[in-house]
Amino acid sequence: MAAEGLEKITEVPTEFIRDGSAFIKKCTKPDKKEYLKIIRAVGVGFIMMGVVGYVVKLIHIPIRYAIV
Amino acid sequence: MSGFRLLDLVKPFLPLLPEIETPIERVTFDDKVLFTVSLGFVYLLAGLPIYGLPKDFALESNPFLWLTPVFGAEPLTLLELGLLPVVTAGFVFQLLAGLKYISVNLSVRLDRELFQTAQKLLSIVLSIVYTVILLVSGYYPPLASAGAYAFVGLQVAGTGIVFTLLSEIMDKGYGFGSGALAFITLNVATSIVTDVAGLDQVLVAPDTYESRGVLVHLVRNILSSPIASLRTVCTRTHLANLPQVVLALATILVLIYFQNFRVELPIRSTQLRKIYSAYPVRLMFTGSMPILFAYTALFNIHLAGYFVAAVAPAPVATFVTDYVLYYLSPPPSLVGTLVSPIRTVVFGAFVVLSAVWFASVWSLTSGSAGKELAAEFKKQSIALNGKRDASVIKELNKVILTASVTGAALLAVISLVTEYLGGLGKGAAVVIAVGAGFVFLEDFVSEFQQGGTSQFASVLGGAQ
Repeated sequence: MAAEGLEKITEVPTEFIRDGSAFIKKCTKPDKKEYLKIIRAVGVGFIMMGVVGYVVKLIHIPIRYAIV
Repeated sequence: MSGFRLLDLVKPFLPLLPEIETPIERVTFDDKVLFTVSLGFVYLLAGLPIYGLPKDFALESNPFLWLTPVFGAEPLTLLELGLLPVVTAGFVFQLLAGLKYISVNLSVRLDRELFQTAQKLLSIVLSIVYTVILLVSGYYPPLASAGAYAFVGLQVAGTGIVFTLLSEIMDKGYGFGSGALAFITLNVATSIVTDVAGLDQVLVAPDTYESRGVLVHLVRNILSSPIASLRTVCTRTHLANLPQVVLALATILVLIYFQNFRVELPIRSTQLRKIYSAYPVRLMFTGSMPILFAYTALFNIHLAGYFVAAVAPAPVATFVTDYVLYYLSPPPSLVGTLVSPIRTVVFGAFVVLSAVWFASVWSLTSGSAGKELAAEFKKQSIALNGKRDASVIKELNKVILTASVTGAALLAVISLVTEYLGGLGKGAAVVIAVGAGFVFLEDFVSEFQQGGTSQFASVLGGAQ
């Protein structure tokens, strides 16, 4: 009984991993060109947001001194 | 129909709460850009310190430090709670509706209004509750008077409420993508850029200044003292160090790669012969929501635990801190990961299981689940190749469920790897930000293409 129970417990994750990896194998993967294109788009977006964010954070420094 | 009454309880609040009006006309591309940028500015400006705390006060050990990046929160500033109230309220109601605890028909106007109001009400209540927890549990230093405590509380809870409304502006279609996620992404992008290229100098020890950015510090000192500067950059803990930055950037690259995994279902037109095409179902069907859900659960557990530990009698308090909170937090570094394997396993299991559970609930209830998608296919006279109409829904549901559950598990594993290597929540934040960034990007591009005569579009078009 105990062994059977254990088998049931391990069965769910193993099946899950098997299904999951089968699914990933079936997936169309991005090719190099597509990948680089997306990296550029996402990268430009992140850097733009980040630089603006950082500049605003720099404005904080004098304000911090003024109010604290 | 008992579920319906629950939502009706919100009715009296309907006229009381401020509401963002849904745009009557389509918001133009330019307006969306303006709204998004200005809301971003407001968010960034809210990173100012809380007024009224003693000068030079620093938290010795912040129990929530590893949770803050995920919610765009910044300790001891107005953004103490970040987007936590909004995100929590959102998840609570999505799950209540998804698991059919409340019956709501979102295509009926009144229902939708009630649902949104209930969500907003919960977010406001949570802002206040979280603030009270922090105040009561001694998170802030001793202050002079009850009035001073009230003033600090007012600032923290007030900012939480303001961001509830600001997120609503974005969510109702004035900006791109989802409000809360946009703010979190902005926070993550800012912290990455700061960690890499922050120009300002920080006093780290008497008479010692270090540049905030890893790269900047290295470039500035590489000529005068190459070995010492390399060592500082790799090992410093008071500011971001090189391994952390590399880890974050590597995570982004891996995520972008997986983001475009998809299964292409063969489809054909039912009206024109021999027109074949493919409908992609993404591996990351649910995006980064499952990870955000796992961390939302964790933050709430930790806040509740913090409160219990502060007010409960000693044995209960010790049990909560030493067992519940300890095992449900990531090890602080790679050494910690190896030294305390039980904690590593328990924390990992919690993140993976909650993410996978959420993904399975979400994928079957959110808008684009099999049934709706099948209806959409029918409208556009598309059929799945080799499937009869009746089995289309079943087939789609199966693919979507597998995709979202597998995607969620994969993302959970990626964020766990970064946590185990000592990412302190920044890895998970990056996972969420990249997912949100993709939604944002898609929204942006599709609006851009429909934009027509847009001034921004012509400028951007020139740059492409």
